[in-house]
Amino acid sequence: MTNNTLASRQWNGGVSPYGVGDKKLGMWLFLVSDSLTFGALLISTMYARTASHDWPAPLPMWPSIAFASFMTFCLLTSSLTMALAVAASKRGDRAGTVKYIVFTMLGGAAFIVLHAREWMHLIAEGVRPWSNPWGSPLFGASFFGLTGLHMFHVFSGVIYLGIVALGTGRGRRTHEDVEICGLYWHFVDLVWMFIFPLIYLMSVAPK
Amino acid sequence: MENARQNHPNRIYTWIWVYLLALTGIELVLAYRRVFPPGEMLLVLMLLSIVKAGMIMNWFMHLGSERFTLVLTLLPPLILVLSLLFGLFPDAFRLFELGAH
Repeated sequence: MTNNTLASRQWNGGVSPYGVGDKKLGMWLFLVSDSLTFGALLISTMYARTASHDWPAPLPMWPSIAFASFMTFCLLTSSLTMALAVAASKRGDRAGTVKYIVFTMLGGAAFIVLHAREWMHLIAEGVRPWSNPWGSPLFGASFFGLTGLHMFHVFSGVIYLGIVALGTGRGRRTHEDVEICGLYWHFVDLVWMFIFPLIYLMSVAPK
Repeated sequence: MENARQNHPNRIYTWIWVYLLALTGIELVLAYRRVFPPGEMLLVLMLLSIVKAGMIMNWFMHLGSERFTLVLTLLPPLILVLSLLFGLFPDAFRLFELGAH
């Protein structure tokens, strides 16, 4: 008891220096390590691009960039509905929380479907992780590697959201669980805010 | 401000969403009209993305409402490590300096 008081006087907190639950702290730490994964991939893509003399810029405004822009819209909108879900769960509105989480899942699913279609289109044009018709083979490797890892995050995010929505509907998940799930979803959105300009907008084909 | 945030968080979220869409639209126009040469374009796009990331972290992920110790634990190491990765970058110019175009 004495120790506790002393500690809390000297080090604002002592027991819980961050003032967040262990689950939320765990999610934040995971997100930092995940940012490093994506950061390293993005920086290595830029490195490979700078070091290659024949890096292609093959993506036409239609359909590639238009698709990617609409995917960005889907993901941003799903982030908004996720924020609304967290707000609803803070009010204790369980039905509202589930409703908004389902909207968020729909946004994520739309993203995956559009992205898969965009992949199919590039694969049909002959882009492979080891070669492409236009230049440095590393283009395909970094394109599929980065967007694939991101798509996998969206995919697992949709499943995660589904589990939390089910748990919330049955009253087994707390507000903190919904908030932590929201952190993950906003992070997936945040990473796309870097992938979209670096992979898509920097690769617009010359007119 | 704090009070307004408690009362109308949904309105703030909607506005953040509008701003994020607007910034994405600006990025798209910049890329479509090729306003800058590639080097400067990269810089401008990255700056806009960092602004967007900051907005998402502050308002959607509520990092601004957390205790500042948490922010200090999460962000500076991340920024430091990502900056260190750029330390390797000058090596990428080797090909050009060797004259292999």
